[in-house]
Amino acid sequence: MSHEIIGRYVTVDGTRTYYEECGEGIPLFCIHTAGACSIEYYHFLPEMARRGFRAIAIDLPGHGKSYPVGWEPIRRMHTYAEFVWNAVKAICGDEKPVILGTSIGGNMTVDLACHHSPDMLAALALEGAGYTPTFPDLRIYEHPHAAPGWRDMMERAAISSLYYPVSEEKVIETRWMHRYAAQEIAVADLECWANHDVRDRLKDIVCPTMIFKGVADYYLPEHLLEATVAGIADGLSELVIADRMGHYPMFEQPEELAEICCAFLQRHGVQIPTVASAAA
Amino acid sequence: MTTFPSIEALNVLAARCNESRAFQEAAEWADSKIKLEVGSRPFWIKLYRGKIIDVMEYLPASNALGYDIVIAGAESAWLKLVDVGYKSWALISTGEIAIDGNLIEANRMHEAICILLEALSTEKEGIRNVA
Repeated sequence: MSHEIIGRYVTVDGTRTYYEECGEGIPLFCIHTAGACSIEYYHFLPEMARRGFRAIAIDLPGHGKSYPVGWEPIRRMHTYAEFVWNAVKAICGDEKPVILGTSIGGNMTVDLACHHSPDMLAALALEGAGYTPTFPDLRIYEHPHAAPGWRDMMERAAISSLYYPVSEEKVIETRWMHRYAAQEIAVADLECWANHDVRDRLKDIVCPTMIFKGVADYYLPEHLLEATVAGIADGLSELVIADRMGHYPMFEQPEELAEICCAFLQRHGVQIPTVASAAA
Repeated sequence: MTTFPSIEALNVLAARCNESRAFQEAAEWADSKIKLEVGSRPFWIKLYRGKIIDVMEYLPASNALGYDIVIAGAESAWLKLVDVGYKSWALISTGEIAIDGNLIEANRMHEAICILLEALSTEKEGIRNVA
């Protein structure tokens, strides 16, 4: 079976929206980090396709090849999450998806679980939590005149949070992965991160939810992750901390991450076709 | 081997930065006077057209030029750069290392500042701490 990544467009909330997909099977919907795009998942999508998933990665509005909604940045995490949910419905129809996101995508995943978990198979929140007051609100920097060095700031914020040692090639590629969104969009992404707070909705989650962090990711202190797991009903959520990964696990260790995700899903009763057939 | 913080260590740092092509590119159009506050010890460097061209201890009554940018932190924070090889943003994002002064100029020089901070690491030969 081919695991080629195919790019497509869909209209969501009246906006031309780009996504990539790979494989057939359970829909796995992936959400990227701040200021980046679906390209972050180009190693991970085939890994999950090989394991029985229809692996999908979206360009959030204003990122990569997706236009912004109404030509404006999105400034609230819940607004982002509802956009993603509408994209999920447009792309996956009535099939229940697994939602996976990283960083702001991880926060979006938690938000989606809070509001839509009856219609989700599982939530895999990487480098995200229910509450993340670990970054200042940088809205003053959204116009280039106020922060002429924005690109360097964004890229330094990204590459510093990788797991080290890492190859120089991967550091450079991580920088380039953050050149797919205009300054005002990326700043608004971080505004969403800073304002995100769904602590009072965690009790509403009814699907298995993995709260995951790469050990080198200093943006997420463990107490915030533990509090997120504690807020979700007993038995539904696990905190997983992985070695040799930082803030970009899907890019840093895609194969290992795929194994961790599948193991979590199996522990929580999600039947994965290739794993099931291999066991038979 | 020189010790940090000291004027000798900053001279080693200047040499490392000036040999770095990445630093030279990031600072090609720099014209900045930077005060480094290592705990209670202030130092001063002059960054111009891709090079650190002067280094001295900063004493307000004896430096007529003043400064544009301040990079400040407790000595323990600086030693995380020197000894542990912390990446710049691991300390900037937490406020352990703070950048202040003319923030437009500091922002414009952000990449050069990050390279400078990470060039303190003892993984590069020549600097050790005194703690």
